[in-house]
Amino acid sequence: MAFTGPELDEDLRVDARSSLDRPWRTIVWNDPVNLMQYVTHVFRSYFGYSREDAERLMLLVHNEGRAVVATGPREEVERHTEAMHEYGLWATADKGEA
Amino acid sequence: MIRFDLVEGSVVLAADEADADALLRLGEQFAALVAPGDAGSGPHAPDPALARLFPDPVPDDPEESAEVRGLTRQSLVEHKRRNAELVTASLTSPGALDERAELAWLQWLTDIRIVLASRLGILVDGDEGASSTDAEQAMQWMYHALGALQADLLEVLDERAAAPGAS
Repeated sequence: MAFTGPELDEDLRVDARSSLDRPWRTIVWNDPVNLMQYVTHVFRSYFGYSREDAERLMLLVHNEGRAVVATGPREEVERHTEAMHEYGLWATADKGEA
Repeated sequence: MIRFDLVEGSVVLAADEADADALLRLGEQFAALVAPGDAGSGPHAPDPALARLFPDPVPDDPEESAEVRGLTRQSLVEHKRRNAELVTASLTSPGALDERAELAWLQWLTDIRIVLASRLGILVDGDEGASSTDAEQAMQWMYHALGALQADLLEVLDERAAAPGAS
């Protein structure tokens, strides 16, 4: 039987910057400067999280050292990361774990 | 004395001249720090305060990070300068703040405290920071006073959000 479909063999490469295989994410890291209520305020007012979700994420940052606050396509995640920098939060973008 | 009050749904700034002057001087220094000209605007500025104000956006991928920072650094600098302008304008003629000025105050207070913390060596939770010289003690006082001022502003914003009829 002849196989005529596309050959998705070991030569397949997905651009490491693509988000087709797994989403990118914005991570906010703990820092000693920002007030807990400020971080909660930023998560509520910028991302639109409920008070409960914003406080849960803030506590993750505070207690665990970091929290994923957004996931999605690369450009979107990088835009959110820059917005966090406008607020003075220490944020980075990365491609989530496989 | 600088304070924020909620008056008929608006955040109203009140500032006496001495404290307004102190903040205006800090604002001038901040503006000089973030925009010292082309020489200081590279992606790897050596000043740790600048590194914290403009973090490496994609640290796992230096090439991507440099590209993103190249695209966004200028708009981030412009945003922070605009914040400083709005804060300066409201200190010069205190009164009701619009929404953009509220945001400018929140973000500007954060930026100034980031720089002060960096200068004082407050790097991780629990760091007290240097306080042996008069200059360091003055920076400590300002760092904590600005934190308290930001907490006041957040409280007023919360109060408004919780008020009947708030959207």
